[in-house]
Amino acid sequence: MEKIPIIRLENYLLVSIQVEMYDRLAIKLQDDLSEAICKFNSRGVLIDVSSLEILDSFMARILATVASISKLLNTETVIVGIQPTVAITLVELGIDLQGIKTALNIDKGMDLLRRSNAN
Amino acid sequence: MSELSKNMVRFVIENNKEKIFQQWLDAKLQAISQKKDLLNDVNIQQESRELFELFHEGFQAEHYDNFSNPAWNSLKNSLDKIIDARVKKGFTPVELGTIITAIKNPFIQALGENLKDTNQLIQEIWKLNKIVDIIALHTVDTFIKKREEIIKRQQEEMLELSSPALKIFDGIIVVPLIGTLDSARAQIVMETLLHKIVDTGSSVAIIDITGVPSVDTLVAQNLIKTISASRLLGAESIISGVRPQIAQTMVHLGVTLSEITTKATLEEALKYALTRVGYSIKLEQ
Repeated sequence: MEKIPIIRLENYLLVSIQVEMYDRLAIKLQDDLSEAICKFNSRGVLIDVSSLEILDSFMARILATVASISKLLNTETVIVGIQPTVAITLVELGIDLQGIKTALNIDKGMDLLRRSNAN
Repeated sequence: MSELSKNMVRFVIENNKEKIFQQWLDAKLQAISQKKDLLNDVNIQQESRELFELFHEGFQAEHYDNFSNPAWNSLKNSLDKIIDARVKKGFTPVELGTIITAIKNPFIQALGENLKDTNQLIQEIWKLNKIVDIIALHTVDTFIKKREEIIKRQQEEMLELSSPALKIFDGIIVVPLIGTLDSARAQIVMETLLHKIVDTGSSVAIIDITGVPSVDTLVAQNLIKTISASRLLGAESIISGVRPQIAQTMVHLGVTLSEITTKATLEEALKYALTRVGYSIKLEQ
């Protein structure tokens, strides 16, 4: 079965979603990430969604769940690369990604993770 | 109407073509005498001749009193182009309509001089009257539609013009809003802002509402949406230019911008933004 690759970068985990997301894949990602965080004792997770043209409420919930799970595991999550059109749709639909850190791109996302780790 | 009579009408028009044309041209020139400076005489002659030929073509059809008759198609096309040019030059629909109806008199005169059968004459005059009226109304209608197109296009241009997003510093952009922020504009502002954030990689956006006359719950909602969307792109949006009356109205309406940073002036907002991005400004004595 397809799975989204999780890359380890220093103490962080990097996920770049390059394919069309569907429900089973999203759930698998959630499971894989939770395992990986524990296994590698990561300090931060960066999820790049810049290739996603559609981010529906299900996917948004998955991202929120991943953020909550990682927080419980003492790990910070940052979502990067939300496209303007996706952002507008999310806001119009009233889907609030409150509490989830976001950044414009991977550079800024890593900056954010490093800074919050320094604290 | 007998075959002979049908041909009679065409015959009448054919034989009196020049006379009819001249009479129409004179009436036309009189009708637009005020606007003569907008067109030069040579053009009017040329254009009138062409138009007349197309009228002639239309009248050749057996059922010329029906505007859907394909014989009138060339006239329709030509009229369309002429009206297009006239709308931009500032002519009024009445002027254009009058030019069309002015063709009635010369034609009726020619028919009157040549058709001896009163019944036939009345019938032909009636048909002529009907079709020229239809053409005149069609002209006015087309004119109005074209004017509405221009207005609509201008509205769209105004909408785009009035919502730029400007980069004023490394990592800081400003969106100065002037005028009411209705849903249509808010949408454009949101898109412009978000694309600018991506293009410049900015982390702070200042939305200045000094030029927004009133902020009601709808406007506030639109602002909040824009700010939330920018947050998803990792940028912080702050509102500046909140005037005392606006502040009062918003409190009255129970609009809370509790999670949004607001500043009274653009200056304050800029200072705040610079700190957020990590800059400090020192005054060199």
